[in-house]
Amino acid sequence: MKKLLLIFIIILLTGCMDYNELNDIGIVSMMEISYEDNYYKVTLEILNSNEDVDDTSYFINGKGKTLEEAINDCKSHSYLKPNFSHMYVVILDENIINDKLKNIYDYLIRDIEIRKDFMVYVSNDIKSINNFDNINSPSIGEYIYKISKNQRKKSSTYFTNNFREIVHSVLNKNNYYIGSIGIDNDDFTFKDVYLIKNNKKRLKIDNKALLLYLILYNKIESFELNGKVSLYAYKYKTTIKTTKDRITIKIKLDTKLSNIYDNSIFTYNDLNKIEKKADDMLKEKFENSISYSINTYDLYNIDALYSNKYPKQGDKDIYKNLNYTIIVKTNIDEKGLTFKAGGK
Amino acid sequence: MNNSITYFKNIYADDDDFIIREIPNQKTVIYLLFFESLVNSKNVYDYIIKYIYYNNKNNNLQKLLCGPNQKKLKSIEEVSYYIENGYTAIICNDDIYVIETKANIDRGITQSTTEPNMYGPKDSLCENYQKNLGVIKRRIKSRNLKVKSVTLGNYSKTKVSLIYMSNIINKKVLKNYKDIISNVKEDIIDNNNILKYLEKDKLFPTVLRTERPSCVSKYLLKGYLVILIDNTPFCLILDAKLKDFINPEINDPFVKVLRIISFILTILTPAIYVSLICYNQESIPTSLLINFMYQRFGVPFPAIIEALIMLFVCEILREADIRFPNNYGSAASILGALILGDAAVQAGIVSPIMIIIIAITFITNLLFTQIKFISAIRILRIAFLLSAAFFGLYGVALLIIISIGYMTNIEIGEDAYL
Repeated sequence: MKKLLLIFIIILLTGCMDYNELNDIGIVSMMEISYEDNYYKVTLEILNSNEDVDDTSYFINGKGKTLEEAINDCKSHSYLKPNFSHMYVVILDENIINDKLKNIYDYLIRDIEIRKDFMVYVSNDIKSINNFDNINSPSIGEYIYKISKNQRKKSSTYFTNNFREIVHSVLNKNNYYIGSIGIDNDDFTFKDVYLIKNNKKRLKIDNKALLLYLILYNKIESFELNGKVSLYAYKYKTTIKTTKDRITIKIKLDTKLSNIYDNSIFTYNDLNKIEKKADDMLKEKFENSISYSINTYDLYNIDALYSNKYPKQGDKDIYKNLNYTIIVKTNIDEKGLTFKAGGK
Repeated sequence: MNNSITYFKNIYADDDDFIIREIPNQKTVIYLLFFESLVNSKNVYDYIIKYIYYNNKNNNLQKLLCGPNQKKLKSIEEVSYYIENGYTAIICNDDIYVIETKANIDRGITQSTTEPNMYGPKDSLCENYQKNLGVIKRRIKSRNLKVKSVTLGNYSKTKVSLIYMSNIINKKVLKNYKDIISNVKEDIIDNNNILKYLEKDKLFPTVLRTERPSCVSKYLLKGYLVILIDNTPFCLILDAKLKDFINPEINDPFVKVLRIISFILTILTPAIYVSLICYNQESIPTSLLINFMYQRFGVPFPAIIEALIMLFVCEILREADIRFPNNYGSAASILGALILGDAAVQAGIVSPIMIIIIAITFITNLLFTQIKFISAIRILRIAFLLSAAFFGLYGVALLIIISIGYMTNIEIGEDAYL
């Protein structure tokens, strides 16, 4: 009897906290945040739970003086309870990343219902994104997420962080990047990348300088080196050595010939020459990137690297006063040769 | 008339099955006492009547009788036990003899129905104690195989034997069970009502029931104690551990893993489904979640009620399928399949995904045949389901820890149950 009473008490006192019947929730796949006339404006893309309806997703809007108010306003307009655990993408209006990022991050981190690995984008044309309908995916959010997932490991000129990486950077006081998204000729375009420092937009960076960041922090899987001969770098290893006045970056690349435009290259000497040329080309490119960084902002978080090794000597903007040595060693993998080289 | 005969006429006064046959001898009368339904008349003739008729001048029963199993009794009170067990009593003056003349009223050794074995021996135990003991002894030809018998049951007087390998069994376990068996107080003994004395836990079974003699012999050689009960086609094996119920006599490692997974699935599938649907939606891939939403659209009940309805209906169907005569069995299955598989979905009472969840639950349950084990699975399944309905995956994880703790706490012999 006592046991039965105990079971009933446990059951009656639980109150089914966090209970949500599946058809009472609206799965949010994308959130857009903008700031106009001292009001936050939030648009949520919600997946349709009724198979018979033609549109696979719909939008609800809300506004408020704080982001929380704006989201609560959205919730009050929806007959379903928005569920943020499947949110793929957050798109921020371009004017918001100048000074409101801290508030947005604060809300997104604190809300335990919100998934934390969504992609973050910036856009200056949010309305046209909402009107985009030429997709094969159930929602625009999922569509953008899938494109960005493929693009993230392949593109050497575009990059955006996901929220988890941004939080990590913010906590470590590192600079980070947010990519822009727009619509051109009825398709999404991913062009500009912004450097964010201390939660404020600082610079639309030169896309050529991005490759060094992607290689240094292992953000890219493979990339192409285009010259007279095209090389495909499928594997690389980067080591960074920090001394008191010098940063030495060693990059070892495993590549294969992806295309030979010049048919006269058939000997091993020629391959050695190609390797040497690739080394020189990359070295020059990376040195230019470093120079660009010295003249603008700490694009590669060198300050953080330096202060990790020398915490007491890590002055602000010390990256500008350091010497840099870049060593690139390219290796063309024989197995990957499209044409067997002659003269062996 | 002999006083003894008067005594028996009085105690079996209204029993027409009880027969007293008088055979006149040279100087006296020989009385045969037996139950017509329990004896084989051919045996009575072959072992008794034939010799008494052809030697009617000889009064010495000791010399006349030649049954394979005969005894001389000292007191008249002992006779009842023997004649109620298919013996024929021969009373001549003060001499009382009993000869086994049992009728063959069992169904013989047939193929195993509850534990079919594709490539192993096909024979199974039957209701005849002697035959059961015989098929076990045929497999273990060792002087270490011991059989200790007692008679239990106020009315049934059932023979119950403890069978074990004296050189392998744990002596403490044996002594413990001898004490338990000697304290059994029941009117009728069968393998169901003796279980309550032998089981060591209310929820999880510790006694394995089998009807395969090959299985019995393997467990005997592993040091288990076997209890054989007269008139019961199953024998009891103890102390069985959880692994014996999940993987009884299976050597294939793949099948073993498959059965362990099935054991987990049959308990947890509905609970995990309800947790994911009602609490932990973030744990499912979005496309699958959307699929679930489409399927559940328009279903009026919460997932937990839907699951309980389906489990309840399936349990009824299962019970009906077991009890129904074979001729009607297919009708019940078709009715169940129609109701559960199609009509309920069409009517919007349950979602198609719930049908799949319940189907997985019951198909995986079919791998296990021990009744008490199935009951334990059923109770655990409901407990996990309720826990999932109130606490989500957290509740399921919590109950897994509690269940493991509970099982490790069950002591059987000197081993742990889990």
